[in-house]
Amino acid sequence: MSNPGTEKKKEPGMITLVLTLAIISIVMAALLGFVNKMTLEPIAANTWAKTETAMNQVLPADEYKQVEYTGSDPYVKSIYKAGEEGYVVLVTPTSGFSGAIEMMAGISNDGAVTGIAIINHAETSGLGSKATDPKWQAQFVGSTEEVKVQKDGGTIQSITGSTITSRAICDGVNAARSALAELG
Amino acid sequence: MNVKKQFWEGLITQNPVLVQLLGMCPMLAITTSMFNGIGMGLSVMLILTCSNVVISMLRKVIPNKVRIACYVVVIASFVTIVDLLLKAYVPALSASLGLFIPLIVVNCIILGRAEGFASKNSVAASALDGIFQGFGNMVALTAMCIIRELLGAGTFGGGILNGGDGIRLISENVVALGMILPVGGFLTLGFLIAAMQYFLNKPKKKEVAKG
Repeated sequence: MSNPGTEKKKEPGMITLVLTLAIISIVMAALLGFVNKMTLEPIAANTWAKTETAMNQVLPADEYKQVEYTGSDPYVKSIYKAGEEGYVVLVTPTSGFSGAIEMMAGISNDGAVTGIAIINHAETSGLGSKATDPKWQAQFVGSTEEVKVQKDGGTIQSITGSTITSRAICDGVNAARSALAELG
Repeated sequence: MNVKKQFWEGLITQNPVLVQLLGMCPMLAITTSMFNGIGMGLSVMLILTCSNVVISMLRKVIPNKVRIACYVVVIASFVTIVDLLLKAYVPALSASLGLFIPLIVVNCIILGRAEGFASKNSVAASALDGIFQGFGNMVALTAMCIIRELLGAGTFGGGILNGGDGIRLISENVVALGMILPVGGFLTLGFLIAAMQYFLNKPKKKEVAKG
């Protein structure tokens, strides 16, 4: 706290104020630069590892090759050809409870869902975030038709208290399938 | 310098959350599983200790007029460092806490201790203050997490024990879902603060009765 009465120091001039703040900022910026450089590689590796693990979960293959997608669906981000098994589609349905959900769906050559994975989301922690639970995701596997939650007359059992999130995931899976249909 | 007194203040009599009522936002938002509570508590403790030490070292150099700006620069830098380190080495925690790590910058516990303690005390005392206040914050966060997780999800130790699922104590069908939602956060925090006030005021009444 300021107690100018007890401090006998001369009030510092404008230059001192600016200099002190500038020096502190420069030192801190240097420190940040150093930490950033140190963590750059592990962070990039983590992000790629996350994507690769997710791809392996939804559709295991030896290698993934990006395929150009020129279709009309703005939610389809990219499509990867997974060996000869099928395709992995990255979609971001925006119909979630809070913000876009970044997810991927693996679809085999015969049009069946082989698995889904959530990469990034901002759903409510403890409710919508349960969509990342593999046990819940398992019910999408093998479906060959448009998926819907039970409330909408479909077969997917929605997450307790998170019907909106569940619907968004269904939207994502459907978008992935129709994108592949467009691709032919 | 009184280590025992500082420890007691951080944990009970001046607990940053339950008595000083600082940093309510993450307290309400992330306390849904034990993993979150301990992770957030440790992050705040680390940042608080680092910023307290640096601000205490610079307390004679920083001019009074720009002190808040200087504190914010120091605090923001440490928060970013912790954010980067978590992303690189503990990605699970970083994903779970999300935006709330960068938001520690505006957590008033940190600025409050910088202004109220580190700017007036020695480096060693400020470091201890950071550790103890951070510990008090972590205990309060974890207590909130345990209560909300038990009543809202029916589990104990979510994210840590039993392969991340937590140990189920209450059936999934009878839990009060609202306890995981923000309303449960407000309720739990209210009861915790009330309990804290009750216990803090108890000895005083005895003294009055004796006198």
